[in-house]
Amino acid sequence: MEIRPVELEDADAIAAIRREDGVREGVMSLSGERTDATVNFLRSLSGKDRGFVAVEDGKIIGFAVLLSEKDPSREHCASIAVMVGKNSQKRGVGRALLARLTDCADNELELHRLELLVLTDNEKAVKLYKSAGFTVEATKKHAAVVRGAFVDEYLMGRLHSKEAAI
Amino acid sequence: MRLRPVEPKDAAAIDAINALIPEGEYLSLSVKDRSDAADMISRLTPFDHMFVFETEDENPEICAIVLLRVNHQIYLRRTSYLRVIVAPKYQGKGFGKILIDAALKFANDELMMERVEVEIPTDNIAALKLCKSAGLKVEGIAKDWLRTSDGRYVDAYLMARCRSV
Repeated sequence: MEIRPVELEDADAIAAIRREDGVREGVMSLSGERTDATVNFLRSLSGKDRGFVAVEDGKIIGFAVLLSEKDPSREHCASIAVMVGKNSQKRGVGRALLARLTDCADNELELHRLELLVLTDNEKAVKLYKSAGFTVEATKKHAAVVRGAFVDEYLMGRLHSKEAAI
Repeated sequence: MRLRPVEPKDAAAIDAINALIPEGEYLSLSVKDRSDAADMISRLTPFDHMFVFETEDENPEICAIVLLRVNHQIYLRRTSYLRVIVAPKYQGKGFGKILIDAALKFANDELMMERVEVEIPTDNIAALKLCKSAGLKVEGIAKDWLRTSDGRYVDAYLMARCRSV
């Protein structure tokens, strides 16, 4: 498996994963989400944002993104999201993508704070994020719609480890 | 006093109010939003709502601004983000409470918005009390959520009012 920066040509494959049963619920997608939504999203990435895909045998199996906050009072922060195709889960793909993002945040962008939203019932994802230094900071009631019902999300945060130690 | 939707012509009055509000003040517009109201008004999406609260005399004066931004993923997140700013000379008259109540009622009755969120720096106890009195609940504390212009990190209470909880 290889992790490489995302390209516009990856949009078809990413959009297909975003629509998969068992993936779309956690990544805020819809079964009717058109590929151009992904194209527009990739085009919107700016210089301080980062996107990576996980590729195996020439096939895209995962995608991760880091979005830097634009507001000057929150420029030290970025939000991240990681997704892995249904058939490629439980094999460390998410962990590898997450490690690439935290490396970017800590050593390249030198961000002070990373944050993410995750469904509270997504135990595997919560465990993965905890292992990378994220902690649950807030429980957002009814923050998302999944299968016809409101569900809760955790806001998880992680401060730059070197700075946090000071 | 009356509450009405913002117009592009209100930009100068809004800029004047924003210039008087100290950094980090409760429920103020974000720093970016504060820099240029005309630009901000022009970038409001059809989902966003912004009101001004003004006097009802011959030359109405804008006393406060209410901003309710709605998450654009409207099917997946029935969430909006509330900000209220009251001009310094009109503070201490209970307008903050009136406007938060009005915004929550609008979000509830007209938008059927499940969530209204507010972020408050943890050092602003008055704001926390005000939001609690309006029915918003603390959902957690985010570490180092904001950075002031002198480089200080500030935690924030993340608060929300849920329609059906």
